[in-house]
Amino acid sequence: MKKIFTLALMLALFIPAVAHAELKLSVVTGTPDPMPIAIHTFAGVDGDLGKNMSDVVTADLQRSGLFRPLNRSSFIQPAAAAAQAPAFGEWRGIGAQALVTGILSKTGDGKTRVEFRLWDVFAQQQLVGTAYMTTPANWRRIAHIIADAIYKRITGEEGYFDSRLVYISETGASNARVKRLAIMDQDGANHRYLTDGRALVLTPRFSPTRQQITYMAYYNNRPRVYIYDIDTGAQRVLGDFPGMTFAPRFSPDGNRVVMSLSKGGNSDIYTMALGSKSTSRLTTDASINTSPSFSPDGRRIAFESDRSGKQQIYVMNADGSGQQRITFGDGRYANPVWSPRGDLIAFTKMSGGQFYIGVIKPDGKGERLITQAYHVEGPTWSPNGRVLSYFKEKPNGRARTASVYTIDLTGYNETRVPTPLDGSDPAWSPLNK
Amino acid sequence: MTYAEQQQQPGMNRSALTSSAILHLVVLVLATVSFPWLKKDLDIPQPISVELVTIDKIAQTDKAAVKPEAKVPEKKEEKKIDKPPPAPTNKSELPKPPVIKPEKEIKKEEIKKEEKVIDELAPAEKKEQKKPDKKEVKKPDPPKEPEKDFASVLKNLAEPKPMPAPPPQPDAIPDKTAMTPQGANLPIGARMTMTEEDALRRQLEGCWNPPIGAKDADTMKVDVFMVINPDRTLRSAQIVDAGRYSADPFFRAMADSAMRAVRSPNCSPFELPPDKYDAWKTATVTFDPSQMF
Repeated sequence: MKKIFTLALMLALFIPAVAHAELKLSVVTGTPDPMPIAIHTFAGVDGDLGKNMSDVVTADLQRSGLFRPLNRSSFIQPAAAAAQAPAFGEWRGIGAQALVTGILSKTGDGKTRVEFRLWDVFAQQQLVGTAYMTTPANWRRIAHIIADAIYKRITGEEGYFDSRLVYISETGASNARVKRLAIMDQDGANHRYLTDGRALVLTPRFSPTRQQITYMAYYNNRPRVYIYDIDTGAQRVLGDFPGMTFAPRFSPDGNRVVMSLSKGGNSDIYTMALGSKSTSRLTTDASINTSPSFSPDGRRIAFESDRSGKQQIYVMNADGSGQQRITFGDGRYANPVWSPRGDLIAFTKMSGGQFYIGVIKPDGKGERLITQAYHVEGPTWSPNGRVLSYFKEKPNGRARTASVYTIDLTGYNETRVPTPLDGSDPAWSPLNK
Repeated sequence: MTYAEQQQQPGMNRSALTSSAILHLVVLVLATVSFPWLKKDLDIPQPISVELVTIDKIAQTDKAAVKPEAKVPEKKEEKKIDKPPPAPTNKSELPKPPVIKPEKEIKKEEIKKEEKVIDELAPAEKKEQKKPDKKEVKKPDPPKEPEKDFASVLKNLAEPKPMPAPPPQPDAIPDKTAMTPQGANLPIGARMTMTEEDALRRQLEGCWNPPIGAKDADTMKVDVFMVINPDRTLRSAQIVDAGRYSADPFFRAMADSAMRAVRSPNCSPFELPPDKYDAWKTATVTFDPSQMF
């Protein structure tokens, strides 16, 4: 017995272990290419509506730089059939990773029902399926909302296509420039003017919560901060200060405005409650403190100051305490804008005769310059904190031309936003409600 | 037991002799095996880890487990050449804007969102699965090698200086797996070599389009558990952290991108050695975007 046991033990020692193992592998680099997506014409009703809608969805996703919409001429399956039951093999065959289909139908009360689905071609399943009821005139907005839904499901982030840009439209010679406040969808559609151009307007900013814009205007040659109500068209001056007020910006709850007040050659940062009109002063030192911007939680404010000798970016608590410098690079830093996502502050940098738009973390780490030009300025964040808009000026003989651009946070995909005339100083709205 | 007693028990004496002889023999054999100088023309056994040293040019030689033989300069050249091209920028001037027309105020229409009106269209999937793909799947493009540093994915116009070198993070070294031999309990010939692992890794890298620029991307490690058919196609795949998948939309987006990678036609069949099925019939692949951002 003992012998058998010993023999068994000897055998067990020499026979290889059970022949099976799980493979473990780490993949740490991907291919940051845009995702190939097939966006089919929306089927169901006669006319161009279905094509127009899917064109807007296509343009939105393409402009984001994260998607590569495939050419519809490569599609094999007809729109209506694909909307019912996609032939996933065919879609895989043309290289699509995702598929968007839509069906329109008319309801009894003159409205249109828009039904869209986003499909995962590899997994052969539906990712999103939603239907909207609307009047046909509102088709463009529905298309943006659909693009937002696709963007959100694929990237995990809120979309930004159903939003608007307000900016300063400029025309005329450089010594007699007419500047008007104008508003448009983020893709340049539905453009209209808000002011008539008699007064010079500057630095428009959207309220994060209401259909309101704050900006600076020189009415009767007196520069002051105003509030414009988009729905009613009403304008009113914000507070009556003895000096000059400028660089206004809303707090995240929309109830306060933070701005600069210049008095006796010194400028400091103040907040003002829109309801009670009570003000409080946040900076007190004898230097120029300006361009304040709230963090999305409303607890901190980024601003620029030349207290160190040249313009740099600082961060402080919302009550003015704990002021701390965060930029230390070469050149000058101006115009900080806190991202709605909270993780970054965008800024304008001037260095070596060039202008840059860059981003930096609120603790001063990870500075990154993402675009550069002869003159580029005024960054503003998309509502999801993923895209920056700004304006660029090019020397053009004795005059200059200004255009509004957007760029992805990654620093790629810079795109011009079409405007009827020259455009500067864009401000992005929150998502439409 | 005394000598006299032993003399009186001849049988016992014989058995003691036998065991003594066997023991001596065992000691001798062991000595021959263990003490090399006893054996003059000793064969030095070939090191088994030949594969570890002769790594293909295409292999990712910067992994921790690689011996100094790996040629560093070559690697650098590759890196330079294969800089990922910047995403297309639309520099062309747009067509002339249309003449301005004063437009009416956009009427705010109520948009009713129907509650989950749409059901999943399950039947379509089944029907589809039976059909083999008619079109031949495009071969993956020649593998690009995106740089592994921060700047490779996120553009930075600043000259080299401003980015402080990130401190070495223990977690950033991805290849704990590469340092411990895969399938240690398999016979040596049945184990995956590093070159073979690299082939699969490179294949999956080419198929993985992670959503870049996402917030907190450095915490988004996604483990995908796969069961693989003997013909090296995917039998099933699932996200290991199902809880986070349903709770965190950012993680879900990242996990979906990983699932698309393993299901991609460009990654089918997997680049695996057909004769080592036991080494890869199940696999856990960690998709880790932390170094890309």
